[in-house]
Amino acid sequence: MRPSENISKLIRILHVTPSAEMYESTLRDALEAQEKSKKIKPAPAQPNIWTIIVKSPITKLAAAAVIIIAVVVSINQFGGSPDMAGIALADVIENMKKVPWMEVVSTEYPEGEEPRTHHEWYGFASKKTFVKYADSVCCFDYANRKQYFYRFSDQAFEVTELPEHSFYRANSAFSFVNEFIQYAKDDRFLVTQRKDILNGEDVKIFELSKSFPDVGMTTDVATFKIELIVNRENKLLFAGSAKRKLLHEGGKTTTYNFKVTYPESGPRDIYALGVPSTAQLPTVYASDKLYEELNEAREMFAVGDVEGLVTILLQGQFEESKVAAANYLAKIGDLSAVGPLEKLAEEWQEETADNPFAAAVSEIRKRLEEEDTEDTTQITEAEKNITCSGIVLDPNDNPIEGIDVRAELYYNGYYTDWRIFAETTAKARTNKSGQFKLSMPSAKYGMHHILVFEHPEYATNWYHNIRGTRVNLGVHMVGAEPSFVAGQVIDEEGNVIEGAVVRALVKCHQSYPKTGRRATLTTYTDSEGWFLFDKLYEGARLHVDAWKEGYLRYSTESIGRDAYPVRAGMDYLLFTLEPGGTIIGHLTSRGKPYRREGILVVARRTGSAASGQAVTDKNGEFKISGLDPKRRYTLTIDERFFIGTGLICKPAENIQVGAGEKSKVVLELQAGVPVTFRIIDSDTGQAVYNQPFSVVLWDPNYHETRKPVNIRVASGRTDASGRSVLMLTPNVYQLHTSEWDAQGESEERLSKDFNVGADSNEVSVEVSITPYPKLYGRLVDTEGKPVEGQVTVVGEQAISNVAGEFALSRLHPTDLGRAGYAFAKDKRLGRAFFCREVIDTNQTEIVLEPLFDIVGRVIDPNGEGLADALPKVGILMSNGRWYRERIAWWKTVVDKDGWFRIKGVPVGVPMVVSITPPGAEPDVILGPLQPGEEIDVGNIVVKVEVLERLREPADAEWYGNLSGLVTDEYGDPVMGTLVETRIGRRYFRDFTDIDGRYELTGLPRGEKLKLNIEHRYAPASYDVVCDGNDFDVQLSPGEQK
Amino acid sequence: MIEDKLLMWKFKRGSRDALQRIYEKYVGYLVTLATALLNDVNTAEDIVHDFFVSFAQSGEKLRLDGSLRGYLATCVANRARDKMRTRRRQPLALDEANSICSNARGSELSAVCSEELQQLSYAIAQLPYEQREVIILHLQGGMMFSQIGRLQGISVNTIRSRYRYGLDKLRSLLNSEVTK
Repeated sequence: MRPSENISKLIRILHVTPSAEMYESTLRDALEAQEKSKKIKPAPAQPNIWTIIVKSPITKLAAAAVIIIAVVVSINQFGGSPDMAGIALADVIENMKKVPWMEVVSTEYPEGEEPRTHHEWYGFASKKTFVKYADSVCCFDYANRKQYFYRFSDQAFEVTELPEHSFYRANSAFSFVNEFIQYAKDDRFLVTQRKDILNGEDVKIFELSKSFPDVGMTTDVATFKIELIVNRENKLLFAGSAKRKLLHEGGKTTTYNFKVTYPESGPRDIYALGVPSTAQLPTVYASDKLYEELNEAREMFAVGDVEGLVTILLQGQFEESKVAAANYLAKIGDLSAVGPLEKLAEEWQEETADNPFAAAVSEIRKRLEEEDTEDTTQITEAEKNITCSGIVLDPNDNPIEGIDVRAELYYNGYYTDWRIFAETTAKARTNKSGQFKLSMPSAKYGMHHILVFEHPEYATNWYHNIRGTRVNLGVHMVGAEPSFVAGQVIDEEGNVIEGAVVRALVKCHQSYPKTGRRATLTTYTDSEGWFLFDKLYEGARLHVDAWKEGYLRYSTESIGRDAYPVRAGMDYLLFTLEPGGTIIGHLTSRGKPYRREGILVVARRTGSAASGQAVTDKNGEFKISGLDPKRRYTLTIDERFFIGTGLICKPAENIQVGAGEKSKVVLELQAGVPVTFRIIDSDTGQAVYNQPFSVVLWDPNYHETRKPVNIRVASGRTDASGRSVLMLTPNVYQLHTSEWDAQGESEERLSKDFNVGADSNEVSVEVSITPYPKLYGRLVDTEGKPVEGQVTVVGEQAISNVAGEFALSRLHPTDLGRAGYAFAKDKRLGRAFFCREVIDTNQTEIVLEPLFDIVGRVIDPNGEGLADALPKVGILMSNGRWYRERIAWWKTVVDKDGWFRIKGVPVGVPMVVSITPPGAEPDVILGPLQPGEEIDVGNIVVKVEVLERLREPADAEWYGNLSGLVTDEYGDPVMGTLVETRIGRRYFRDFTDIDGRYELTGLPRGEKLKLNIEHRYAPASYDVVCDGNDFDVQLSPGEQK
Repeated sequence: MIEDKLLMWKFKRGSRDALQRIYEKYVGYLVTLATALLNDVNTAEDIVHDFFVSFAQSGEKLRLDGSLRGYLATCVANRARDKMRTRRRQPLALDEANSICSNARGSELSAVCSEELQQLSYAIAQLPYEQREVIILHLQGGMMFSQIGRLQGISVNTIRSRYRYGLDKLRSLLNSEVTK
């Protein structure tokens, strides 16, 4: 290979191994440096000179020139640079030190802005610096540590002391230079020189440049370049330029051009620069202390320290700093500052209109109102709204600002995990105090809301239990330090596997009981085989699966009873995937490829459930991967894919797959033999219709032949004539169906083995069974017209058609004797009936009649109405006992005086009205009822002992508190455990805090209570008396009191 | 890269192990890069050493938006460029204009390379620095043209053309070598 042809490839494979000596020493030095930097913390104690140069408002005054002088004056100290350029510059500097004054006219050209010109004088002997701008004049008197400022437009005149702060600790521009040198010694400027002729004069041009290699690490400046033009004769600087490029703000560039002259004298004071002599020097000097206090307030504001600002407000020494603190507090808008501010506002002696504290109070109020309205986005205006508000705190109980709170609406799923997302109904963000408020339309029937709390630095949290119209969330556990689980997926030889699917089933820690729901996360490994599940809670537990085509699935094994063995924070999990076998194949029919798409081919381990599956492509080809090489497989296709074709698939059996290999299989489709199945009622000898059955492979000698048996190959259901026809391949089979045995339990019935021969045209199989009870009939109204509706007996349900006909085919024998209900579609008509016998002729008619209401009143023995006792309807049986339906078809409403109405009760069976909890005297028995009437059952008197259980203590008695400490078996406090008690219908609950303490307030004092504590060992309950003493609990594994 | 993300996460929290792992993972890559840029192993090692020491101190302050690898490459390339300028401008004073090309150690890469690579590294050493930097950062450092552009503060098109000219020149240099 000629190198010129493959340059790219060659360059890519260039590799230099660092010398062992360098390798060791660099690592050692780096680790030492890291240790050192940890000790030097906190970082703010070390001012970063570059940041100061660029950001400090004071240095802006003289940015260009000061930096230039710094560079010029210090250049010979740059570690004694030996090069010629450095030596030449040193001469210049020496000469410049001899001159008394330097006058600089510099123009600043900020990118995208108008150029600005400054005029500057540097008095080397007098230690004064003057700067003149278009509108203002500035003077720094380093000898007397004073700073003068005059603005022409509004004649503002200020004199302040040069502050003892950051680099101004050095009290002159010249010691500032020294600080600069300290920094610059480490990172040398590059100095070059060239000769040139400028305006007919011989000049030397020195170029000083520096780019900052460690992007983002130490400075905002990306590159810095200075050109100094020096007269070759007198070796004095006479012009120059500087160019600075910022890292951020889109790489904004600022250029300075300047021209230098060396006069014998300079301005004496600020009046010499055009300040009118009438301008009086302010006599009041801001003291250092005031400056410090102001600065403190500013820093507090920068970090949002409301408490500190309030302290300044209350204990500050200067009025100015108090006003500043009030202004900062107004900007923060925290409610807790209102009290102190109002107090100060009242004490204000001067003009009311100037009162800064009153202004701050009104500003805070305004901000808070705006926050309330701005942060909440209400998507739709609904008649009934849910208002959620609350506070979001981290584990140390500090409020977290900026958490995105979102209300998401879901459709209910069959299981909780199956919920389907509908829409986001409201959004909000927590304010500085961690508070949020949002309002969303209440969820319709079949839907529910979930609140989602998100923040990039915190684990996402969900809140599910939104009940009622006003929800105040004390969700104290959102902001945990985020944690993660990471690891690598490799193969048996240790090579990383890219693109493997890794799925984690997350179970949150018990300490977060309300979020202890499962969640599934899925990710893929990167090119280095890494996967990462981030934003997990600390303490979350995971069950992790990993798989990839061609490999066997890896699952984390349970440890003991713990199915979630991976803990958040584990960051180097290593999963080894073993190679799996692959079966590839295609379908054929009569020797030709059978090209049909979408046929599901299932591979089962012999004698087991499906272990792999695949769908055929348009060529009838399929590929099943990830099969265990130690097993043998059977390939089958469900016969429903061939309905109407007369074809069936002969299962391919005993397929052996090798690790990492592909086994080829051809699945042959054959014309099936029609087999007629008939199921007979053993009592009547008649055909049983609508009876399900299945056909399994069978071999009477399977012990010897080792053939797989009992594999279901087909299933069917007898039609109205009691028959069913299925296509089967030649083989030996058995029919399986179920029947009702004498105890009312279903029992499997098997037919005799039957052989389907290759040459047989038709096979007939007959089985006798005792069928399930059935109920067939018609729903009619009182005029004999058919009614559309539904019939329910215990769990079984049937809908009637337009002719009113219904069929309840598989009643459980034990259902006989229970009440059944028939209702019209519009729920106006109905009837209850006892399902006493099996009715399987279409002659049975159920006549539906209008429903009726039951009214009455529940009272205590004194005749007072009771709203707490709920009257319910039960069914009276022939033996005199009665029972209640688990799901009632009728609705009960009770008002506060105990008057109740039970709506929509059907006629047909005798009923009982009783109250819950049971204890009415007497239970009212309703005999056969006339339809359409309203029945008044009069007063139901509640027994005295039941009354005790219903009644809650009077409000005045609810002032007791119960608190205590929950510890685990080692005596360590348990955080986040739910402690709860219940009085009547009221619940009192609290989660233990970080110290394991709980406090329940508003309990009835002196009452005996049952305290329930939810914990991972077992829920425990304790009998306590609320008497003001602490009740401490020590939990232990398996304990249950 | 997920591992890099993890390492940065730990490094920012002061993990010694993370720093060590970052070092182990990238030191070879950075030394190769710096050597290719400067054509001098010793200086390259010095640069990488200095860089790692200052990197180790950056800890919490570090703000990293892109990939760790790209960041490290950028920092080392910057340092190499500064170094290169010093070296390039020294000759003006010391009058050794030809030093880089005639440097007997010019093919330090050859210590680990085949003859082919030796030719190549010699050819690379003769490229103007701007072109060399683009070629090395793109091919060896795996950086995109846009990243290199941002690093040098010039447009992507300039970078592209430098890359093209550089490759052409390399090719002609190598062809002339071969035909010699």
